[in-house]
Amino acid sequence: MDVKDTYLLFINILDRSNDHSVQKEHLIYAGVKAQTELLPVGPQSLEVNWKFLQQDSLHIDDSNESKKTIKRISNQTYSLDYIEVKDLKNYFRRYFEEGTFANRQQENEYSILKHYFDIDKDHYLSLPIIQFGWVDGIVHIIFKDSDLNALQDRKNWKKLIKLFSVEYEALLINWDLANKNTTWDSILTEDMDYVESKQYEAMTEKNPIFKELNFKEYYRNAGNYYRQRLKSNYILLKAEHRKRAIIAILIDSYAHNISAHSLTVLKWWFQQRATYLDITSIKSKMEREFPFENWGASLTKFLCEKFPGFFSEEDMAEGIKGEAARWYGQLLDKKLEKTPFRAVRDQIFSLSPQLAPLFKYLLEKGAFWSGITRDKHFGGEITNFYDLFWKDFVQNSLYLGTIAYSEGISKLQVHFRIYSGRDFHADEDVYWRVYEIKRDKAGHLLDGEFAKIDIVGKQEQALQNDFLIEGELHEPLKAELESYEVFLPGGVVGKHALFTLIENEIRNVRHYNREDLSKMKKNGLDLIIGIRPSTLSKSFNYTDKSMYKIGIWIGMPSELYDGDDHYVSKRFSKQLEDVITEETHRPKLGGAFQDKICAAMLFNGTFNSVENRNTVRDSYYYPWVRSAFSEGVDLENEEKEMDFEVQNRNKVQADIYLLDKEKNSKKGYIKKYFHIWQGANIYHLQHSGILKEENIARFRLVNVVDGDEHLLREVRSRGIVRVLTNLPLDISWEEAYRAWLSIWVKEKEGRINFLLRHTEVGQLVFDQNAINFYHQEEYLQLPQEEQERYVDYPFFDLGFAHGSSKLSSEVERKVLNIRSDGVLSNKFFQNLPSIEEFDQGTISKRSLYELLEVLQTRICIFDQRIAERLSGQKRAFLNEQLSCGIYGENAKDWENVKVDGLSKYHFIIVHLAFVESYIDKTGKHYGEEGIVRFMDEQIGDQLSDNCILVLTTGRGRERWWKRLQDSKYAYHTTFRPVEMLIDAVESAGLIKDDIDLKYNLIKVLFGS
Amino acid sequence: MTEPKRRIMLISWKWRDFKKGGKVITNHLLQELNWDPEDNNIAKFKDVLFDEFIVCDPLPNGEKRPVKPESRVVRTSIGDEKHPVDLVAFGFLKSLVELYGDHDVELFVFLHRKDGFGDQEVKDILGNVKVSNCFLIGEGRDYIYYDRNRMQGLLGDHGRFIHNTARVDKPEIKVADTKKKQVFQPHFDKVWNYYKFEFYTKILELKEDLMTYLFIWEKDDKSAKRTEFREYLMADEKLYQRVNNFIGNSSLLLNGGEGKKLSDYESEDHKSYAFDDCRINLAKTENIDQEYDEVSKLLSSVFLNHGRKKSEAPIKVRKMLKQMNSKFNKLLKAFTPNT
Repeated sequence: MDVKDTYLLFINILDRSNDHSVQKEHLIYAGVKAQTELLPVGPQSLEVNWKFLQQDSLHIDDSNESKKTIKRISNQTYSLDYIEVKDLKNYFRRYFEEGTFANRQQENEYSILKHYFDIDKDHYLSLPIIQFGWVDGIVHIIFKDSDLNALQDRKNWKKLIKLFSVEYEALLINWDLANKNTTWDSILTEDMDYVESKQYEAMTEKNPIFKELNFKEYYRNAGNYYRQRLKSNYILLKAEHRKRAIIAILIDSYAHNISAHSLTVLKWWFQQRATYLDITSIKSKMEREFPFENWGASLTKFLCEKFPGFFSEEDMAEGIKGEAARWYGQLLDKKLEKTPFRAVRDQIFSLSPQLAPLFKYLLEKGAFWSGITRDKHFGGEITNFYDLFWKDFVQNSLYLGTIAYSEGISKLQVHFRIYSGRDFHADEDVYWRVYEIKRDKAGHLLDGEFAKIDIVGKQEQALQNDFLIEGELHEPLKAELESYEVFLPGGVVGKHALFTLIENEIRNVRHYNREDLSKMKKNGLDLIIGIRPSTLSKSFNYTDKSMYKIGIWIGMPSELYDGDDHYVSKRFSKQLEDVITEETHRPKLGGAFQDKICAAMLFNGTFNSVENRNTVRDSYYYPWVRSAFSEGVDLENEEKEMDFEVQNRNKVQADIYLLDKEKNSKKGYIKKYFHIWQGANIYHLQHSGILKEENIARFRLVNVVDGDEHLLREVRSRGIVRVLTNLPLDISWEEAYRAWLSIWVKEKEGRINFLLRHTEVGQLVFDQNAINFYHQEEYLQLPQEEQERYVDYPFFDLGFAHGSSKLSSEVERKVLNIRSDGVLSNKFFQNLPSIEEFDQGTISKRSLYELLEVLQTRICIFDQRIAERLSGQKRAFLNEQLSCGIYGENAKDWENVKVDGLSKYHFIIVHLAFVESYIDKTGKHYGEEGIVRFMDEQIGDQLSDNCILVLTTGRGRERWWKRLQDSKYAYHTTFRPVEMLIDAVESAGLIKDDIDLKYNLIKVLFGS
Repeated sequence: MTEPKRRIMLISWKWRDFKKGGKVITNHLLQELNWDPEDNNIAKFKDVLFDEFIVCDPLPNGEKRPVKPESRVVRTSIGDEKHPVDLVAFGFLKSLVELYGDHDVELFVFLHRKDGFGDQEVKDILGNVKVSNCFLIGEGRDYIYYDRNRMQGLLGDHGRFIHNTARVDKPEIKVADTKKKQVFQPHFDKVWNYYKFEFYTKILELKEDLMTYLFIWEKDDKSAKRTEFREYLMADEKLYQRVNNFIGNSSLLLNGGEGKKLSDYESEDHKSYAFDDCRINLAKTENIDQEYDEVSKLLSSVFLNHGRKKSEAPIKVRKMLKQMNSKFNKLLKAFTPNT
């Protein structure tokens, strides 16, 4: 069938806009929007007519053509014989004869058709729309006289009816998931039952049109296909439910761990701290009994003299009186005598050092939740276990010390047990494993206390309590943990997925009996974290240790059996369940499911992967958490520990083994294990199949071996910035990094002068051949011709101050502020106690390349909150000295930056709110939906392999990405949570080190 | 006609060469090297514990010719121990001064503050009549340090003579050839000439700045309390610090120690304001310490010595300013004519 000229469809079908309840009395004009898009553009006046048809519906009694057809098919009297090509002029006969239309629909149809067709000459053909044995309406095909031959052919009518039927049924299957239809079982299941029933078979034998079109055979053949389609719908439906369930389950984790336990206690203590002293009456009492003149006048005078102009003498005196009253009240208060001392409630000094990590933690939890909602994570962050646990986890003593407070536990010992990665064959069956505890080079067995938290303290510590102190094995553990690089998917999101797994274990303490709880109350709770370098399962032919197997448990043996049920088996069985209920798709709340979801995130990089079992790898590692127990370290060999571990593939045998209660241990340490990927340097990606097994986001650099465009896109979509092609497979990390820098760094040659005040103390020289660092003395020894060549290289000054100088003057003098505990002295250079000792410092090639990347990567940030962290003067200084421009979200700055060209930057970081609120040339906001238009109009073709747009927000929005992902900009666009960027600036600000600030930002942007 | 004197700068500083070679002088090192203060044979430690650079005139043909009269820079490094004056190592330095001092030599001794040197050590060094002047230097802020803005100075900030490389838009800065042990004359001369007049210049500048600042009080002949003067001076923190330093109260800081130190201002302005080595030098070399003390006493009575009943009495402003001007002039005039 070949229709050559313009044609138009008026589709009158039953109204299905109202979910499953079909309006059988009304027909609507369907597909109007698509029609207007497909037809040649008509005059604007037609918009009114189309709009009328789109919005109006036609009562079936007012539709002669459709009504007759539907009734005849229902009465089983309709056959192809009733179909005929009709003339438009006949359809509008009444109008031509009487000057009026049959109804308003016809009037609007006329206006449209008159524009596209010759009413006198052209024709239409009305065909029934049949779906799963029923008639839903009529399609009227209006066509030109020139196509009459094609559409007059009776054989073509059969084809057309079938074609419309197939199309319509496909739409129906999609409709099954529309609106509220997802809230009940599929209505189409009934339809499918009908077309496969005897009743339908009988009908098709009687009903002429069904017979003529052979609909009986059709569903016999295609029935399986339709069933599969419906099943897919069900899977999609469940996935949607799961997505919501994940949010609910993890919110429950907050409600449980943070709100119900920790914050409840803290709120109470702080409330008492804030209100139990009546400062006003204490001040009055003190004034009566000990006049201020006698004890406070000299202090007031002293402070006023020391800080002239800060406060008036009256204000200073009032401040001293208030503070003294607080001390006096707290020291005297009888509550201190009557109730046990609580360091948080009763400590006299400020608790700011303890509160700051709590606020940071809560802020990051916000980023974690928006990450759950978004569940699209771009890359992640490579960090080391020490920074992760010491700086981000245990510092939060107020929180960790109160999670188990409802059990009366406020002391916590964080204990690490580091296992070597050696494989030991267990004596028995697949579920027994023997692990070897590692020793460091000095011979320390790496199994011991890392940190101690005690938030109750003792009364004699009322002036200043140490809530957190280093454990006995802190230093050896620190050295070891610092050497373990770990990849956290989504950065802060992955970090808190890990923390949730740990927090849940602390909460598990409630399962212990009263006697054990009382011991823990007295001695503190031992939280043990086991770390074992591990390979991806042997079945995947990996030999490198690419993961860490993390074990979490409480260091107190507990009952292993609950009646005849073994806890390990029971916990694992639960984790094998779906996170939603089978029938109602409701979320299953509780720690076991929280663990499972968080472990899935750490392993797969998304929360929604929690029920993935599609690949061999996934079915092997599902449900991402394993349940285990041990009886502790071998009493005869302190380096050995034997675990009984249940996982997906040994579950059946393990359950059988554990059934024999008499034979097995009754008490032991109940553990949970999960995996987290190691951070690594380079991956050579050769084919897409590997993406199902390896987590390439964990690599600092990915080499797409044959430069395949599709693979490159895949890699970029995982948020990896350092992507190269066609590197040799045996290339060293240093060589690969240099190759990367030769592309990334925009200047192809240059010289960075390290200046100590006015003196050059070192030279970093880079060009296409090499990247070298020379101390000034070494540089001056270089051959004359080489030095002369470098004279012409673009140069950049990196000025440092003497360590004793003050910040304000550094900014004025345009020198960077460097601290001895900052990255330049501690990470990049070795043996560099201070910047004055620069010639003692040495730098490895790898560190040198990383330093060059940090210094030469140009950043511009448009984010209000980040800008607010630094003074305008400081921001201007950083922009000038370190190519790190930080701006508020204002159009003027954006336009100024654009003048010089955005392509000169490596990272253009823009807050989504800035994009949304930015006003285009027509005076309208771009909005989230207008992201592509923003890119077209504001950025254009400036993005490239070394100019990446980074969008940031603290919210779980994802529409912008849905809009961008199919655009040309997706390849050079990525996302970072704003909380990570803010933290990068804040933590450097705390130690007042400018290189740290740039370094932290670069780390967040590259992920490593 | 008298022969011009030979010029020698003896600089005890954090020279990297000595530090790297483990030859920073400490009591322990001297003991190890069997140095005997009575031995009078210090020359044998040349190129071990001290060395010499000849000042040369770089000619256009690349040749470096020693200047006449002969000029030298002597380098040594005394360890960063406290109170060097009590140490044997300081004795070594004094022997070195003895070695280079002579009737036909103008000897400037430079001592690094950070190595513990202070006014006590300056006084001690100046006890040797062969020493022309003794200066305290440190933290990259004195004139002897190279400054990019004035493009003068000898020392870098990193324990070496300054040597900055050439760039497209800037020539190489090289004041010495370490291998050949030569210092180049133009750079040496500029520093030498500055230090020759340093104290006079510093005092003159302080006087001018102070009198200009206080001029506003002179317009009507009123009486004012000393506290008013003090508060007015404190409004200009830097000037207040300079006056204090002149008087000898260098420890007095504003804002309870949180404000800027005089050294911060020196760093910012690339200029030395401190008088910590001034009075002693004037006493020993110019014999004008009395004049200095008169100014100091007056400034002190106006700006500092409060609290006593006498000092609470108002002072006649115009009279006091005239007196201040006159005493400063007396001090400046007392310098020997060629300075």
